[in-house]
Amino acid sequence: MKKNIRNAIRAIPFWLSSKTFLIMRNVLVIILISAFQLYASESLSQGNKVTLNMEQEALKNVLRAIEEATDYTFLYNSKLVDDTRKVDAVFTTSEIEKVLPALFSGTDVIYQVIDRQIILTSREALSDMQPGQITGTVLDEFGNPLPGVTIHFKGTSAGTVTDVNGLYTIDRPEEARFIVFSSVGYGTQEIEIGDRTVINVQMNEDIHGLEEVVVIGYGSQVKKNLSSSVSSVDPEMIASSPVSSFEGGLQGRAAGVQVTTSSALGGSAVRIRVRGTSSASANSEPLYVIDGVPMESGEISTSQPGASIREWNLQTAANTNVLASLNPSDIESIEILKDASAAAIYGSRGANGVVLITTKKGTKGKTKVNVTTTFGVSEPTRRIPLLNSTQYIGLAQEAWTNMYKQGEQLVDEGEEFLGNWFMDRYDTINNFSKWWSESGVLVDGLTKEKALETDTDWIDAVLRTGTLQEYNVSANGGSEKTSFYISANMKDESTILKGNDYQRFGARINLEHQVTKRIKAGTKMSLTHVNDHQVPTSWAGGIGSVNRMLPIWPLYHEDGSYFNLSDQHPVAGVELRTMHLSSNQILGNWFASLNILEGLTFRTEFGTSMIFMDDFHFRDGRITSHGRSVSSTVLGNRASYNWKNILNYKKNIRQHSFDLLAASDIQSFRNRINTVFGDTYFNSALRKPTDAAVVNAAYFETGYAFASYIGRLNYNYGGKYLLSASIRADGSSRFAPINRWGYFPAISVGYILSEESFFASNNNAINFLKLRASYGIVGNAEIGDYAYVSNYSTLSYGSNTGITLSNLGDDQLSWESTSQLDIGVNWENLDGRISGEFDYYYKLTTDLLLPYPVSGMTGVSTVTRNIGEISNRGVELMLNSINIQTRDFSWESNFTIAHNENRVESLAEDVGEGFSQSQGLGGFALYLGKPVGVIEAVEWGGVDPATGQDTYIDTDGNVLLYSEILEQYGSIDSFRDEHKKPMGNPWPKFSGGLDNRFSWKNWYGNIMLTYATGMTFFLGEQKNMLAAFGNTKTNPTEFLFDRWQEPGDQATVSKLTVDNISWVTTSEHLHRTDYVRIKDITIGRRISFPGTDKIAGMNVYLKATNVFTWTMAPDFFWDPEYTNVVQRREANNLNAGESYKAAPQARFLMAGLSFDF
Amino acid sequence: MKKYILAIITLAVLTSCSEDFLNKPPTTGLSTDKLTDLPAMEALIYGGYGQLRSFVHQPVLYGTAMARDILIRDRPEYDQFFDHMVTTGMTSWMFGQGYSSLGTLNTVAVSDLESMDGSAEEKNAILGDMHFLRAYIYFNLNNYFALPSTGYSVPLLLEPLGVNDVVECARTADVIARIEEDIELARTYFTDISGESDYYAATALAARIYFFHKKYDLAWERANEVIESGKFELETDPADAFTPGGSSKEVLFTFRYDATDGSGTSPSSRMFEAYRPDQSQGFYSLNPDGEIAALWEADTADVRYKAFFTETTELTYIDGKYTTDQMDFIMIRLAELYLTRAEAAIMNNNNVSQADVDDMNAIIGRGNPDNVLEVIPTVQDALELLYEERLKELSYETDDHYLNLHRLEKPIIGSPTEGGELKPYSDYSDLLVFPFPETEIEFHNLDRNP
Repeated sequence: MKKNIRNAIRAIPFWLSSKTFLIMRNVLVIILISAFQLYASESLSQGNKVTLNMEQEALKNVLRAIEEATDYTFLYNSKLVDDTRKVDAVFTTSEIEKVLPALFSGTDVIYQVIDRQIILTSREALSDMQPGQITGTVLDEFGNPLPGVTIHFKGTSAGTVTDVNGLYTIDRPEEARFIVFSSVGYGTQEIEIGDRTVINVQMNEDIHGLEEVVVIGYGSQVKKNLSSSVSSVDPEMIASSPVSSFEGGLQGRAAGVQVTTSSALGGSAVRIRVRGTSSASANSEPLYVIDGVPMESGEISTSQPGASIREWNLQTAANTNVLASLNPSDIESIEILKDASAAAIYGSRGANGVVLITTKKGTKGKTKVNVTTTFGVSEPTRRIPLLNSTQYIGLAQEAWTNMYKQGEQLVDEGEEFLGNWFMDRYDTINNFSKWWSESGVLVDGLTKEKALETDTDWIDAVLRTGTLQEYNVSANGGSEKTSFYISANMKDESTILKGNDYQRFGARINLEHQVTKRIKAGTKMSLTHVNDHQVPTSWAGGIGSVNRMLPIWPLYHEDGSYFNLSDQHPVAGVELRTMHLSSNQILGNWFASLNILEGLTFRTEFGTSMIFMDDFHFRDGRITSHGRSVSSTVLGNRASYNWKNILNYKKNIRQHSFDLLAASDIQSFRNRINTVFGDTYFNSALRKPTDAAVVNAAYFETGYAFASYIGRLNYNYGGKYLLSASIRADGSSRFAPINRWGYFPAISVGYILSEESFFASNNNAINFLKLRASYGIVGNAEIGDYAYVSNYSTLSYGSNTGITLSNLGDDQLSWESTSQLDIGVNWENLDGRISGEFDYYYKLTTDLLLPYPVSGMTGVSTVTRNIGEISNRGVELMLNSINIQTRDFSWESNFTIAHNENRVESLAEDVGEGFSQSQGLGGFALYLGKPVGVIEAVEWGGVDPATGQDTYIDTDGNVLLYSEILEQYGSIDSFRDEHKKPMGNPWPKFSGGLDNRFSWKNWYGNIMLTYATGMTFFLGEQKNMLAAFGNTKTNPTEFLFDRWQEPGDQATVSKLTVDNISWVTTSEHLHRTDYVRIKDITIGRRISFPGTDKIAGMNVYLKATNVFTWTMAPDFFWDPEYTNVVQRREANNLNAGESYKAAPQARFLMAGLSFDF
Repeated sequence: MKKYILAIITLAVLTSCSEDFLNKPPTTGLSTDKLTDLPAMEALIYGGYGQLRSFVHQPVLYGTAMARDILIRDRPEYDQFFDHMVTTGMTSWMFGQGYSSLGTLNTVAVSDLESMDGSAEEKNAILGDMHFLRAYIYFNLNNYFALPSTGYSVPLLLEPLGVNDVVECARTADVIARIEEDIELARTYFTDISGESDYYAATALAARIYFFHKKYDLAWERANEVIESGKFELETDPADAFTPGGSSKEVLFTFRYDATDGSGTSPSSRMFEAYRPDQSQGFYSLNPDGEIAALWEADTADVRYKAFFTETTELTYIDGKYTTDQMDFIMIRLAELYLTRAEAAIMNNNNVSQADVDDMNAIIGRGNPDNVLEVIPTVQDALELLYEERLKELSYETDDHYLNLHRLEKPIIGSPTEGGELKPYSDYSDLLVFPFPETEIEFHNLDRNP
């Protein structure tokens, strides 16, 4: 436990400790002053006391004076209320309830006070109403008229919508007792009518109402009537977060959706797993569908220009995430289809869940303009505590001394040759003079004297205080026939990594037009330009190399040149490289719908997603292995189009409600990449590949097509019994013709007990209760485009073309199929004060697509095969409670927790209990009964207190000293070969979040925690640090303080030596990375401006993210959250639990200001 | 209403997915069914050569490390070779690359060349290259994977291996026979026509093969044939044989590397990087040490030392053979054949002739005229001199020293942890055999001790 506490991130937020404090303090002060000034002025006019001295003044002037003196706003139609009438208004600290009768006594004006709004109308207008009519005004949360609100009487089909002024009039059926107001984005209000003829309503934002309409793929459905598992996430919470991409904001907000961000790099990738990982080798990211267009998620630039042409690590830093191009502020709704019943509508692409994103559309009525600006600063969530100069010298010399002592011991044992050799080499008697002269720490002309006066903080050299600014302007509105939403946005981020600057410019236009009474057409289009200056991380250098430079080494020579210059020099690695990606993206969807008959509609949609990217890399010859400058350009375009035709029929027959859907969907995708690589420049001004002495060009092209037919029935009886059945037939070019088509059926049923009459007696305790069950089959075709074809790729040999086998195809290759059972319950207690959702699921993926190892003598090391089964089983709980709700104060909590167990259920018979395979520099292992992503490793037995040696445990449970292993097996490698076993689990056992939202009058706040427990990670960097003083020089972190020093020591690190790095992975390198993180703290205030129609409202907030983290991860982890998805997305399940290097994450402090006009 | 229905039907028809829409085969590369003509066979040959680019330098570097002729600076993975504790991690690469190329060559071997359009010369050129390369690969694999104590070696594949095919280790004698048969077939096919390789390159390789197979009579014949052909000449300055982009008449065969062809890592780049003076640069960072260092220290006047080695205050490094990473990798040159002919003759005859001395002097005298042999030495002295001369002439260029240690069953200097004393051949012969890759052992149940 002590270790855990020690490992907790105790960093004081940088804005309290660094010079950034000055910047942030000023920002904070300005915002608070402005907020409190407003608050102060409000406070002076708080309450409903009115003091006026106006005689024979026009009523409108009096009303304006009251608005100016108080918070009240008057809403009326001047055609109905004569505001030119002269009145006497002489009041002294009078209650508003006394002022209003005085102003309107003797007139036919009647009034109603709703919160701070006072609605005026006339008896004459009411008298004009037909008998049985009800009228009124609907306002939004700012008190502005809300057009387009649907109004109907409960239990009848009569309904209407509010006009542009928020006004409505509706005939009341005789039997109607309740009137219902509903609008997208607002909570539904059900009001008992009584004998009222005027009913005015103020709508409040709501995201989890049962009447909320949720998008379910190829249509939408009222949430209450869903019989499948769909999570909705409030996009507003994501829009204001400094996430690199919107999907990063899903963390902790939806049960069963596990989110891992990769690093602080601008636009970096995010790994998402919905209900565990269903595959081993196929891509397991959910399918993202933006406005109906299936997206190619992943990196914009998938090329590795340096991979085949010498400088292989030209580009192993972040590849900019495609989804980061979507402006979070444009998102109207996010739905995650989790169970098979929901996801089966996407058939072969639904096995990993589906994330549906719908962007905003216009609403009829007055044009609303929103301007939002955000400014933030950032720092790393954690700094690995590398040793300072004194600490390093101390430990390095201790290692040297230990070797000398070993020599003494050998001599004592009679091994004089070796003992004397040790004693001679590691002589420590004369002030470590041999350490200084022979250990290799004095390089590049460094003297002992200079080294002793040097103490370089290499982390400081490559990190900085990051800044972030975002600007967003949007306008939406519309007439009776046409509505629009347009927006423009700009994001400019200089991340905590020096040199890493990410800019995004975007524009969007969403239009809908009612062409005729039956035909509607529209479009949603966005253009995005991304400008991303990347920096190397991980293997490639930069921050990844900070521990390859010693604290006794200076950054620069006295003449300003880099000290000990190589690609491992963190600063030179950044400064002498250019990694610039620019991309232009077009995302568009065009639709036309035809209302053929009542209830019968036909909709056709054409969507396209295009990415044009230009990736330029330059690496100065001073940091290349051959000493020449190299560069590359990668020009690519990815174009996808899809065309959907949907026939939908909705019919209510008495208590039976039918929603039938038949659809077809085709998609075609093509990716083309041109790469030019240049090597050797005779002039430093030349940097482009074509100016190089050696120019290589390459071309890459791939593509796929999907064709699908879809059928679905949603049925409910009496709003109580729910049924949904769907089937999708998918054809994919990724499989051989004989296995090209797959069929994916699903069914779900629901039972809303609370609608039963017998439930009424319990109505006070539980006012809504729904039981659900679903079963379905979904697929995964994410295996690359041509795995079924044997193919030869070309190479050049001299001036000749050669061919070599690149893929051994298998025409029997078919889909991975995932069947999923889901049993769930939704409920609401105490009139919605507490609501929840609980699901149990069991997923079984069969015909697992695996890189099955074959004999390397075939010419390939693996082939893709349908082998094995993986299961995921788990439970999810989401609880929402409105803890306090008074007139002025509310506190709402949202808690999610998910438990998932991933397990390999079966493998091919000939691989026994499991198998492993080397892949490039890494490898993977799959074992029966173990989760995907285990690593084969040797079990470490800790440090022997007597000798300080590492001990290891063989598969029979025997504990052996390292020296005994050398004696018996020759090397630790040989021991490993015989005694390795699968270890680790990269997937959290429990994960989720706790979100608390507060509001007090116009103030609001938010505190969100996220957590994940039970997962492990192998960090290869520890191997370097454990052998810091051998040939390869490394600066370790403070975890080495806990090393063995003398017999009897109970230590976690063995005796320091000058041994070289052992690359054998053992459980010593395996660590729990559980964490609890304060993900988000927000405080803000919404401010209204009564008395002016120039501005509708203002929102000002302060937000801090990744504020504080408690973790079990050791100090050499930059952050407990890490995924190597950036580098090996295609294999990120099999390698999910290990990485050689990691990268820091960022903590943000932000201020935002938003205006509504 | 009718028109609406018609419109819907039309759209439904339009979206009906024919198989054509889903038929998207690869648009780059070549599928297996297209390998039916001579150009495809020729492309496979060049593919086989290309695949060997990441194979041919490995015996040089591993062998040099195992012979303890290097100081390892910054690449601890070479420690396992130096310490004779070889694990599968590094050697799997060599095994895999060798068999990848063999798979490509065997595709040619089993193809129906007879029925393909083309002349007999064109077909002979293809078959000549196929047998030449196959002999070269098996020769190298056998040198490192054959277990002397049991007489078993690598699996012998003469046709492409299917994913479900299981093979077993071949007897070393069978592998040797196959190597020798292949190299002789290469010579036969190259009699009237050259491919990428040619008759003399095959004959020179045959000389090397027979020499290390201790068939000294054949080694002498093949070496003699090359030397006596008059088509090749020793350079006056040995450095001229290593001129980047040059066409030295001393060089019989090179694996080509052309920086402009984008072919990736070149074997010469590995050699270049291995011996760079800057410790932080290059991938391997090795320096001359061991026996070779001792020899050079004793004869720094030798032009080869001056031409190929640079001495600094901290290190001696070899930067003269591969002065750039963009040059062909020399597989065999005439100097080796002179030394082979001399030693083969001595071994055959158990006597040293003037002709043998002349062959030795051709190389020794080029290095340092002061060292030429004025008198005919004894057999023992001549063999010892040849051992040292091969070491000096061919080090950091081939794995000759390591193979010579094996051939002559000489002891190796022990490491400090071994006590620093000489380690007899009997102690290390099986130790220095490379392990098979784990996956191959598991898949085929490979066992060299059946």
